[in-house]
Amino acid sequence: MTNTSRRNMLKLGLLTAGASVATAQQVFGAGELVGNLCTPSDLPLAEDDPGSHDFNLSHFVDPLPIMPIAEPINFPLDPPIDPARHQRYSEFLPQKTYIQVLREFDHQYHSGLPFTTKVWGFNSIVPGETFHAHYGEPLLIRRYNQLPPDHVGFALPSFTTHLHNLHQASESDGMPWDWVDNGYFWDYHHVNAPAGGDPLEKQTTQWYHDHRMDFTATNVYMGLTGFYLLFDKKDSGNENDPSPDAFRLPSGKYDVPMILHDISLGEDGQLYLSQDTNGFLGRYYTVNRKITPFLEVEPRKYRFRFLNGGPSRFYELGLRSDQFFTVIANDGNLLPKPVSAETIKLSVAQRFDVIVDFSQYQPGASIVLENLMEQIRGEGPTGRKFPKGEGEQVMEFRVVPLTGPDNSRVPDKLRALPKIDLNKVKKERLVKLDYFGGIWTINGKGFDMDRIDMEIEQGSAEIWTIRNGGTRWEHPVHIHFEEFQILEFNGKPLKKSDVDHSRKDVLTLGPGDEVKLFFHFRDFLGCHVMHCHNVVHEDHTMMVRWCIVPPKHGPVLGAIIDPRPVMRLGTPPAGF
Amino acid sequence: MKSRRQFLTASAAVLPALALSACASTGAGKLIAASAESQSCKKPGGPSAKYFPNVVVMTHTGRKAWFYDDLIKGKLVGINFMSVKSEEQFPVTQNLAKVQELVGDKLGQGTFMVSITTDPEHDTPAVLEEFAKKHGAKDGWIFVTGKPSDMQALYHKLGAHGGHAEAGGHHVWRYGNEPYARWAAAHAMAKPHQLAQRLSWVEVNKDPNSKKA
Ligand SMILES: [Cu+2]
Repeated sequence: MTNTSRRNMLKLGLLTAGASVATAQQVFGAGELVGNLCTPSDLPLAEDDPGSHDFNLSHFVDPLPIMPIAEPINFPLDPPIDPARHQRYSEFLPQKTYIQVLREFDHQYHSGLPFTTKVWGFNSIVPGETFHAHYGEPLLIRRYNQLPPDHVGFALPSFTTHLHNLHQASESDGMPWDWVDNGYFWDYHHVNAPAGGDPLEKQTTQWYHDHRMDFTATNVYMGLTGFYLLFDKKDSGNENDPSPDAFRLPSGKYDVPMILHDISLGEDGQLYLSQDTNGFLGRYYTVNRKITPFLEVEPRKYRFRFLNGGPSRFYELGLRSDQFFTVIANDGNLLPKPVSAETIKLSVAQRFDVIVDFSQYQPGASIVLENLMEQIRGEGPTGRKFPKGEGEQVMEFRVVPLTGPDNSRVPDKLRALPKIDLNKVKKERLVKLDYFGGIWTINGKGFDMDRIDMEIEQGSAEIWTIRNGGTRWEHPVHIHFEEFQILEFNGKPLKKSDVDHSRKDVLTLGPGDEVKLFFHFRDFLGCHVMHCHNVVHEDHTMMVRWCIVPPKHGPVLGAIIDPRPVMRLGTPPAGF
Repeated sequence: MKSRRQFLTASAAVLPALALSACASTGAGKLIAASAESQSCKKPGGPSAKYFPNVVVMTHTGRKAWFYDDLIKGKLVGINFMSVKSEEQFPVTQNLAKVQELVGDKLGQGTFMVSITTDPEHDTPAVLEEFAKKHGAKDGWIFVTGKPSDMQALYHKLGAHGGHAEAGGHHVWRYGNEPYARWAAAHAMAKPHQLAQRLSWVEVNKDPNSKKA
C-alpha cells in the first residue's frame, strides 16, 4: 500500500467539521479493498476456532452495566505506606486513599447463558470501579492480591496494575517486572498533576489494566481493567457548573464510560483464549463486560467515553443512523476543538470521548452501535469496511422520555496543545517493529527486563521515528509516562483539523507505516516501557524498556532503579 | 521420577501401547504413519489438551510418544523449536543447555524440556541422540522428531502462526504448567536465568510466606 492510501485509510470516516459525508465515501468507498492484510486462505479463521463455542445468544438482552465510582477509605492504612519507595511523595501527599482487592468471582456475561463465568476483578466488580480523580488532589491506591494461587486456566494469579497514560513515577506505573503475588500488596501513588506542571498537559479519560510480564493478555482478558477519569475546573464533571470557566460537558449519568472487549466462551462456559501469537479475536462483543447490551438514553446530549480494552481487535464504530459523533477527546486528552466524525477508529487501548445528541429521536426509537471494521484474524484488520448498517452489532441505544432539561454544552474550544519546542530536542531515535523467528521484535530484539533499551536525559525532548517493518500486520504502539504529538505521518505533517492532531499515547502503524513523534520527558526518574498494545504481541516480547536518567550523567542503572517497588506481605482489612 | 528409564516407563514407553489397544484398526507398525487417524481415535483429555496436537513423535532415545499425553500432560514444561543444521545460525540449544543447569535437580522431577525439530527428515532419532549428547542434555530434556506433517502441526500450533515461517520459529520458547493450563512464551535466546525464572512463575505456590518479600 502506498503511504498516501494508508493515510487515507486512517482518516476514513474522520471528517473535520463542515466536511460532507460524500467526501468521505470518495476517499473510502464502502467495501473498497484498501488493505493488504489478508493472510493466506489455508490458515484457520478466528471464528473457526473449536475452543470458541456458539451459544446462539440474542443481542441487546442485558442493560449496559455502569461501574460504581470508587469510594476512598476513612481509616488509616495498616501497615502505613512506605514513603521511601515513592518519588516526590512529600510534595504530593495523598488526599484520598483507596483499597482494591483483586479476586476471582462469578460473572454473568449474558442472561441467556445457562452458567456463570469465572472472572478476575477489583473489589469483586468487573470492570473495576471507576475512579474520579481531580487535578491537585493526589491519591493512593493499595491493591491486594487475593487471586487464587491454584487457579486453573490461562491467566497467572500475579498482578501489576498499570494506570494507562497517567503521568506517574515508575514505581506507581505498574511496570511488567513489578508484579505482586498472592498474599502481597503494593501501593500506587498517583500525583494527579499535569506533566511539567503545564495545564495544557491535563488529561481526562484514562484506564487501569494488568501488565504482568508475559501474562498481560491473559490477565486483562480475565477482567483486570477499569476506568480512571480526571477532572479539573474546566472539565469539572458538572453540566450545571455555574463557573464561567466550566465546559459543562454532559455529566453524571449522561457521562458513560464504555470499555469494549471481545470474548469467547468454551463449552464449559469459561473464558477461552487461544495460544495464537498473532492475536486473539473473540466471538462476542462485550461492553462493560456484558455481551451486546443496551443502554436507555434520553433525547439529549451524552458523553460516551469509548475504550478498546483488547486483547487484539480493531474497531471502527459507527451508529446505524445519520448521526455523527462529536469527538472531544483522543486518547484521554481534550482536543483543541471538537471534531465531527461519522465513524471512529479504535485500536487496542485507544480512547475517544464523543458527544452524541439523541434529541432528534422520539421515545421508543433505537439506534445500533456497530463495528464496521472487518477482521478475521488477530494480527490486524483485513482492510475492508462493512457498508453502513451491515457492520457487526456492538450495542443498542434505546430512547426513553426526557426526565429534565439538558443544560450540557459542547464548547467550540477545549484544550489547546502544548507548544512543541524543537530546541529542547537532544536525541532522535529510530524504532523498528517487526517479526522474526516466531517472536514480535522491536529493533530486532525481544523484551528483556534487565536491559535498558534507551536512556533519556530528564528534562530533554526527543524525536522518535517508529517504523512498521511488517507486511501484513498492524501494531497499536503505546508509550508510557509521557504523551507524544505527531510531527509527521509517512512524511507529511497532520492537518490541524485531523483528530490525531492531539496529544496521544497509542499510535497504530499499518504495514510499512512510518511516523515521527515528539516527546518531552519530565518530572520523575526511572524506567518505563514502550510496547505493542495488541497485548498478545506484547506478551510475545514486543516491548522495550527505557529509562529517564539525570542529565549529564553516564549510565546510572543502579541509581535510577532506586526506589523500587517491593511487594509487601499482607491481607486486606475487614470489609474488603 | 529418578531416571530416564523410570520416566519412560511411566509415560512414553508404555502409553503408545495403551493407546493402540484402544484403536482396534491401527496396527503397531502403522502408528507413526497413521498419526492423524490415531489422534481421532484417542480423544485427548486434560486441562491443556486444546492447546497441543496429540501427535505421535519419536524421542531422541528412539521411543514413540504421544506429544501431549506423554511429554506435556501433568508436567511443567519448556518447549522450543530447533534443528541440528540451524543450530549454528540460531544457537538456541546452546542457550537452553544453560537453562538446564539452572533448573538443576527439578529437571526430570516434574519439570521437563522438550525440543521439537523443524527438520524431521534430517533429524532422525539417532541424529538427535548425538546432538543431545553433544549439548549435555540430561534426563528430562527430550528432543523429538516424527512425521513431517505432524511436526508441521506442532509448529503451526506452538511455534509460528499465520504462516510466517521466517527463521522457523526458532526464537519461541513456550513454557507452562499443564495441570493448571498456564502457558506463555518468551524469547528462546533470552538470558538463561530469565528463562529458568519463568518456570517458577507458573509453579503453584499456595504459601505466600515461603516467598521472599
Ligand atoms: Cu503488534
